[in-house]
Formats: sequence, structure tokens, C-alpha cells
Amino acid sequence: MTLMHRNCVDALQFVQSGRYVNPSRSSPLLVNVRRVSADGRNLRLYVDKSHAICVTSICSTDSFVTHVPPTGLPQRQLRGVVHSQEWERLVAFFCMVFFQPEMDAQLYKDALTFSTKAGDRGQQGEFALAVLSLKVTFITTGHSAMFKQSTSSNKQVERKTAPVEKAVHRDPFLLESDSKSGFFNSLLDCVTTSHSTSTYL
Amino acid sequence: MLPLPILPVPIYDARLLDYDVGLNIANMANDLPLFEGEIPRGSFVVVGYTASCYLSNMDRRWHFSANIQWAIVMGVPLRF
Repeated sequence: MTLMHRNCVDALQFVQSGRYVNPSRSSPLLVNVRRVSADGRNLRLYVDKSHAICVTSICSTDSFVTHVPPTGLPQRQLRGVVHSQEWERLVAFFCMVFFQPEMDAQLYKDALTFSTKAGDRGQQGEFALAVLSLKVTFITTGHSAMFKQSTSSNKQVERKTAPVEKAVHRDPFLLESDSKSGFFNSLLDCVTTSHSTSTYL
Repeated sequence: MLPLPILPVPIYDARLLDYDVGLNIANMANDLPLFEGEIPRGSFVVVGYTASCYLSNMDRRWHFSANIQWAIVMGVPLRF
């Protein structure tokens, strides 16, 4: 393996630097949560008046950063397993700051999905719209860091995959991107005429 | 495969540099070279993301979402 051990230890032990927060190590008292929609259904994590950039060390499992994933929504994705102990602390941190006893997340085989906003469905071409995701529940009890993962048998997997697919299709990011399809189409036309993919970047 | 008309996610390469995330994190774009290609499976990656939480209209449950901003590759497996 090509790596520098000291770099990895430093990354795991990172706590907080300004708006950069390690949710596994930092204190929930140092961040705040703001409502970003009028109905209060959308919450974001902030440090003072800036968006908090959470910093987490993972073991990557799937990377679709430069190209479209073969299945699912057209968005850049990075999936990875958060290291043990760091994961439990991360769950406790987010449940505490968002003040929820449990939350659903994009998890598949223990790997959390970090993704960008989805693009227009029309650009996906022949790619299927199936979403490979598994519903896993965050559970905390009071202020403790208890966590249960509801994955054990294949039966559970089949039963729990369906509702997540529906939920993802109602993702507010997706609705927002649909309204901007004209913008993406114009970008696509631009590339088609110039025959260069670098126009996007 | 189609290129994405979505803002690019910069992937930095810290495999061969002495890089302390805690000291240089705000200046990583100047300190680190870019990593070419997709990140191999099994790599040690530091990922930066914004966290949000929303109430789904479909199942009336709160969902957590992590929106990636950048990533730093600290190490890759020998064979991938």
C-alpha cells in the first residue's frame, strides 16, 4: 500500500479548524444548525455563519467522481466505509446536532454515500434509474451513542430497499435539478458542437 | 460513459507528501496535486462534505445527506 502512516493518523485525529469539522471528534457545542427552507424541513450544519465542511476518513468502496455511475441518479458519488469507532461517534454527533433520535441515510453494505446534486434524468441515456441503496436506521438513545444497523438477512434487504427508492425520487435536489433541465440541455448542446468534454469543467 | 454536467469534485493526492490535515486544511488546493482518475477500491480517503437533514414527503421521515465537496487520497492499495 502506498501511503504515509503519519498522514493517516493525523487525518483520523483531526478535530476542528475553523469551518472544517471532524464529526467523529469535534463537539456538538461548536456547531449550529440552521433551517434553510421556510417550512423548516431542510436543515444544514453551520459553524458561525459559514457552512460546516465535515471531514471524515473512509475506506473507499466505489468511486464515481469522474464518470456517471452505471445505476442510479446521474450524480458524482463517492462511497466508503467509515472506520470503526469513528462511525459510531459520527452517528451520535449528527443525530445530536440535528436533534433527531434516528435518521435514514444512503448506506449500502456499510458504505456511506457522499454525493453531489443529481443532474438531469434525460442525460442518463440507457442507464437504469434503479438506486442501489439500503435503508439503514440511525438510532440514538438520549445523548448516548447507541447505534443499530438493520441489516442481517436478505429478506430485510429486499423489504427495505423499496421505500428508499421512492424516497430518493422525491429528493428535493432532484426536483430542483428538474427545473434546471434547460440549463443542462444548453450545456449538452455546447459540448456537442465543440466536441470537447472539457467545456463542462 | 458520459461526462457529468455537474460541478467537478476535486480529488487531491497526498500519497507521497508529508501532509497534516489539521495544519493545512484550508490551503489544500495550493499544497496538494490533483489525483488522476477514479479512486481505487480500498483506498484511505479523507472526504470533505456538507451535512444536511431533510424531512421526506414520501415516508415522513428525516433523512441525512452528505454532499461531497472534495476528497484527499492518502493511500491506495498495492493491487487494485
